[in-house]
Amino acid sequence: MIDKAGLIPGVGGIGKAGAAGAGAAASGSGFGELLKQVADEAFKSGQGSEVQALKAAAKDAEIVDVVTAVAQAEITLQTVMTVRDRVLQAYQEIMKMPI
Amino acid sequence: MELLKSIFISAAGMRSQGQRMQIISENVANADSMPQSPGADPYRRKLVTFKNELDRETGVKLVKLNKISYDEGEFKKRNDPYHPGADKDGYVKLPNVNSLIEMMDMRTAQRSYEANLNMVDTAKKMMLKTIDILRS
Repeated sequence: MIDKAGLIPGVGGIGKAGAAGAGAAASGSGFGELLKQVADEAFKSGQGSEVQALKAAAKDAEIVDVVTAVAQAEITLQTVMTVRDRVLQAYQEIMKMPI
Repeated sequence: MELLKSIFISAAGMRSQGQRMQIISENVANADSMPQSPGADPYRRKLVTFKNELDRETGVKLVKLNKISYDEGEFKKRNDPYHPGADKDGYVKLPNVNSLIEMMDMRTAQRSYEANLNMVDTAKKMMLKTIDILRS
């Protein structure tokens, strides 16, 4: 569901890019760290929802558990995506600034 | 996060109501389960009670089903001399299931399930709306 290998290097990249930009170093790495944490959490809850879905397929879990796990994963993923979009937008605005 | 916890609590409520529905179905389905032999008892109605239990992982009080108890009410008797479970006077004991009561229980379970369902839906919508603020 969530590609950990794909997500986290990207996050690290943002952190590094922020560090490269003069003045934005502190906030850049802060954002990177935040995103990394949130992505980790999203990965975990995504995994949880997958486990529940598999259990449901094996008639081992109740549908209620699947619904809550998937809802949790969805909300975490939405948060990560929105924060990522926001950070990328901010980064691009800084890049567009005339020097 | 509080709203996630709220979803978790409502899910526990839905699970309990589901288990309650299972017991009610057992009662309804066994409303005609007569005794097999003259001395035996027919199906005895099962009763569901709830309790709240602290979930240590999240620190919230969830609803759980108590141990299933049995309705100790009297069995009605019917004159049916050829039934295999009839006693020497020709009476056979009937299960103490009243289908009207079971119907009411079923409705209550259904309403409670729907209430919990709406809680999950609203909590999820609230969270997604909050995330939407970041977008604009």
